[in-house]
Amino acid sequence: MTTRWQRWTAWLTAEEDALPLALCRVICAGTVALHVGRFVLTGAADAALLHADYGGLSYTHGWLEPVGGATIASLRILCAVCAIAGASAALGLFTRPSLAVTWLSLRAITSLNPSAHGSYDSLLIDTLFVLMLSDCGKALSLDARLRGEGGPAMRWARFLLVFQLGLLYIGSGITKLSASWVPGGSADALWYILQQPTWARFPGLPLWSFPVTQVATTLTWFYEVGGPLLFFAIVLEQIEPRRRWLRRLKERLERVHFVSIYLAFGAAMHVGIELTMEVGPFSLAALALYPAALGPRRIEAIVRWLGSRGAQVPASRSQ
Amino acid sequence: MAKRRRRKKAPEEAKTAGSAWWKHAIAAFVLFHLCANCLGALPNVGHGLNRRVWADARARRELDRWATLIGVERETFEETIFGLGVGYQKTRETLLSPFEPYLSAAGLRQSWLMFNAGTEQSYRFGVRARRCEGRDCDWETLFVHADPEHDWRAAQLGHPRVRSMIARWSWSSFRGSYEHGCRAIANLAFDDFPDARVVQCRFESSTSHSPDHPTPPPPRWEFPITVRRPSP
Repeated sequence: MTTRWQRWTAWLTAEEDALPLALCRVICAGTVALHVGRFVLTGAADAALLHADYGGLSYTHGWLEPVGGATIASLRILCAVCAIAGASAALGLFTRPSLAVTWLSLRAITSLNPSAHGSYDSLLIDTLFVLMLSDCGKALSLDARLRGEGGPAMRWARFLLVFQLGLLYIGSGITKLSASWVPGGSADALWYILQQPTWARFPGLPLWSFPVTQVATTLTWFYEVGGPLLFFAIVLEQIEPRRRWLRRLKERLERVHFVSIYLAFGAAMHVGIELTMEVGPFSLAALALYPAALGPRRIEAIVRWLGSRGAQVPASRSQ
Repeated sequence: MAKRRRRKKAPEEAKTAGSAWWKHAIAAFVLFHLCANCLGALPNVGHGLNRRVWADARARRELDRWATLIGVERETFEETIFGLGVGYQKTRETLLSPFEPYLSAAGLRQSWLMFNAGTEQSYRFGVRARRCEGRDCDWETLFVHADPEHDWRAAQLGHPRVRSMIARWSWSSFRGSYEHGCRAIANLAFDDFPDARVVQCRFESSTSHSPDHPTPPPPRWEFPITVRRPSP
């Protein structure tokens, strides 16, 4: 038991490249900054968060109750603080305090009108909480560049973010119990969802695309229910399992490139959601977790590939 | 001698012991966080147990489909899943209670109920106003979601957060919020159109086409709420 605990402790606190965590931070905090900035600049925050006493759509003062309630001035200040802290965290300036302020102020914003929220709020808050405690400021940050605070990061935070990604997908998959989602049913969930005027970017779908949406419905369901397998596959990549069945599972998953295929499908799915539906910053909030799932090795390979492509372009131009 | 040896190694030992202590704290925190969030991810069916909502056409369709799939009467099916739902929800609350203070303090929520069903019935929000009184007075459409011709305050009413709130209003269980929200939207319209006398919120109910229903019935407007300009 003691040995197991020590192995667990050593594995979690092992140091690795901080780049994946830093990328998660940039995407997550940047998303908060852009989303909240747009929310307040379009005037939508004034309508959605202002208390009914002042002519708004909200009927709770939330966290602003002790400071005089959800008035125009207080909610605009709150949104501005959140957007600025988010931008600062994305740049990596005073990273940990900036992340803490972003996390707290986003929670305060969501407390002002419990109806005016989306799943992206929960996902962003959950991610910010882990990032705030992590070493995510040790790369791609002004702190690292100007104040010499760069270096490796402990593995545990990336592990928790991968866990969050797996939990998001399985949590979403197991609530899709509708006969229109589950295999063996009509598989027409996406057909109808993509035509809901509240969320759809395009007014209607041509009838010929019905079978395409049926295939997409079933693939999405399997993909989401497979969330825990992604988590286990990534953990298995990082360890040398002693049990035979785990070693075999690891070999098989690696042989079929399970993690890469799963993440490529997920990225395509989120891009597809973004192109066909208007669901706020959900896709970006989910994609913010992808660098953690890719891990240092895959990100390094992608950077190297991008670098080689970049080198080829000037060469071909000079010819 | 022993004392002297211990004193000599003290700074080194303190450093090792300190870092080891932190490592164990991190490992314990990660384990606790995993347990709390795993249990937090058990779907919360609390809202789904509101049987008033089950009367909605969208929910009824789903219940009908499952009852047909399993081969039981809808009433029997409803009773069974309601019983199971209540039992499940109680178990969930019991399991979650030790972790609830942590999840609540950290603001962690793992409820991922998103587009859990596709329904052929859909609703689109609209606002219209009248600048006069009497039978001959026509309504003027101000806003219809995703309609570029009627885009009054579209940046606000069409924002994802506001849209998410408005989408809930089409459910009977959110009737109170709808009435309150419509009053607030009407006040915005009264500000923007000083001659508007009456404002009405409503939902356009439409049935999506599909291979089974290539020509669905035309959309119709439902759930109107009318707000008169308050007398000065």
